[in-house]
Amino acid sequence: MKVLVVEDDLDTAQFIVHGLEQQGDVALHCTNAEQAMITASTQIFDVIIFDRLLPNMDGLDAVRILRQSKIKTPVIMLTALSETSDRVAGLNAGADDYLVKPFAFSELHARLKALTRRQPITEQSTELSIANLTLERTTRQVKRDNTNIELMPKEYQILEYLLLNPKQLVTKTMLLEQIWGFSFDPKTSLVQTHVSRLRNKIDKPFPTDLIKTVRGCGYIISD
Amino acid sequence: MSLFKTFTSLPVIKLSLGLWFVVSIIISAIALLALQQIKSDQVNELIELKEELHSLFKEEGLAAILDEYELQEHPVWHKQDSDVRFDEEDLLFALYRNNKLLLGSTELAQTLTEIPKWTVYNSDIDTPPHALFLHFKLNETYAISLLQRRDGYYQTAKELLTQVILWFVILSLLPIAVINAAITFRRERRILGIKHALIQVAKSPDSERLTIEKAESDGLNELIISINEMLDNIADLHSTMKTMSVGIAHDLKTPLTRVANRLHSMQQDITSPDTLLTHLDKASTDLHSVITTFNNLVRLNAIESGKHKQGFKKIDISVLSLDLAQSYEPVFTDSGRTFEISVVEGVTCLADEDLINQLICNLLENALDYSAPNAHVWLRLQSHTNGALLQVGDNGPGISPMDQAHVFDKFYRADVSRAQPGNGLGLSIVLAICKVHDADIQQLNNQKGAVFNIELPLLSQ
Repeated sequence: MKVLVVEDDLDTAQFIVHGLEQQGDVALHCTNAEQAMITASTQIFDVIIFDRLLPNMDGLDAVRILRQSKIKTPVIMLTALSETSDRVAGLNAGADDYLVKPFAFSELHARLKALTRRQPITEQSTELSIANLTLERTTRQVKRDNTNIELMPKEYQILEYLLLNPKQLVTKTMLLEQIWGFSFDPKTSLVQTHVSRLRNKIDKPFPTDLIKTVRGCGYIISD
Repeated sequence: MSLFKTFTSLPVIKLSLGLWFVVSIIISAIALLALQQIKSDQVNELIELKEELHSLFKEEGLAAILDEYELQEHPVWHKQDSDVRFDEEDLLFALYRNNKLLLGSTELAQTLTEIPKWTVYNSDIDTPPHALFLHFKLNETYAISLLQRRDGYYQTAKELLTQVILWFVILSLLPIAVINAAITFRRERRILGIKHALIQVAKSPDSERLTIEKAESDGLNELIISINEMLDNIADLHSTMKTMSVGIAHDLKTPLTRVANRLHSMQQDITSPDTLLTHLDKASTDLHSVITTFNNLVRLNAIESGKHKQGFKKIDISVLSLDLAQSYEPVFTDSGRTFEISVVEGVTCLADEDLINQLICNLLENALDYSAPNAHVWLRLQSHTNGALLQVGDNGPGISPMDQAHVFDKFYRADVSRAQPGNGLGLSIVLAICKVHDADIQQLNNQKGAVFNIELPLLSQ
């Protein structure tokens, strides 16, 4: 994964670049929007990390300009503002995801992965599957080993989201955003409870577990 | 101008100014009446003279009149003579026969007047021109004109009265100025007193307040009441700030100390990777709680600023609360509690969806944290007069009366040791969300457990 990191705070930038390199990714760092726009239009990246508050320019405007010049590289915005309206503004400007500072590196990485892997699995595909588990999106039918599994609506939505991002870390925050539409973090184990119920239905009766827990981060669905 | 208004609005000054004004008008009116009296006296005198002349003519004939006015010697007074006589305040007289001047002044008119008329005499000598004129017929043939200068007494009286009024105005303004100075001095002294009192209040803002002097009615009492109210508010804010700082300090100190200890342990366990991982895990959890506290503070601040109001939409709160309740149901069940959902369909309100989500989440989490392990928890939603009524409650153990007054305070924790997880911001956020939505939140009394009632207006203003 080749990543462009646009971030004026050197410590944060180093934290991200170092983390990415540890994961075996290639990271290029820019400190201002102008430099970033030139770099983004001359080289090909898998994903761009854009800080919202940059000297001289609002990150939102920079992303808007990138999109106007037909650069479709996925963009994730970093910001200190956590309000839904800011999130909406970011997404409207053409960013693909929005992450509030401070964040855990695992959270950022999971989101980067989700963004870069989005292309192969189209959101429109009607059947999602992993190993012997299949999810039919039109009929909302879930089967494992040809056994029908009845899921509650939230459990179904979680499984669907995990299957849209197979073999990748899906964090608790991502699930809260995607399934419940929360921009805040309820302190209870809302996500854990629902995931554990989902597991009881799709994993427990079978010899192998598909959903794995990444401690303190989230979940991965893989065979 | 406003200064003048303030000045005249003082009751004492108002009263004295009013009195002064009324007395001035009365005195001027009396003077005018006196002057009028002088004028009408002169008119009456002239009428009497007319009567006299009539009777003289009837009884003694024309000659008597001529005698009376010494007209034999100077039969005709031309302009110059007339002017001199006028100047000397002598009566100007003219006798006509068949409308032709027979004797007397050539300067008089022959306009018939029933009663004496005020007119102007054009004299060549510098004399006040005002005069009283009368023309009447003695019989078919003879007629008389009379002209008399305005009484010299009138002029003197007029000047005198003008002087009196002028002096009255000047002299009476003096006491008013004195009263004004006295009042201003008193005010200054009072303001100075308030200033000194404020310095005292600043030294112990929680106990000292300004005292109201009941005897005074100069508007400063209202000011003192406002200042005291402001001081109360500031004292409240101050104590909230104190609780908050202590809360923040405590909530940060505990996890940070633990992280420091972990780092120390890591140094000791540097050789065993498994133990190191546990330490890292725990340290990360502790730091996460610090970040959560800050996030909640920032969030609370954002909610209190009211900027969410722009994003208000009509939302179906029935669907929203049912969805949330159903999401939480397994959480309650897993924790050993029972959870009852009772939501009436189709209740709508004007609100920020994200905030209402958090409102319900925080109330449910509060129930989850503070109700007994086997408690019964419920969420109910019904439509209500002009809005929605949401109730989240549990059946025990509830909130002690001592804590009830503080449940919405920032960083307030019923559990003083702060051993339980959480940061005492949950219900503060609930309260802030209610305020933004003009919703009324109540913690019901006389319940076995903690029961919160929230009335959301259908359309918030």
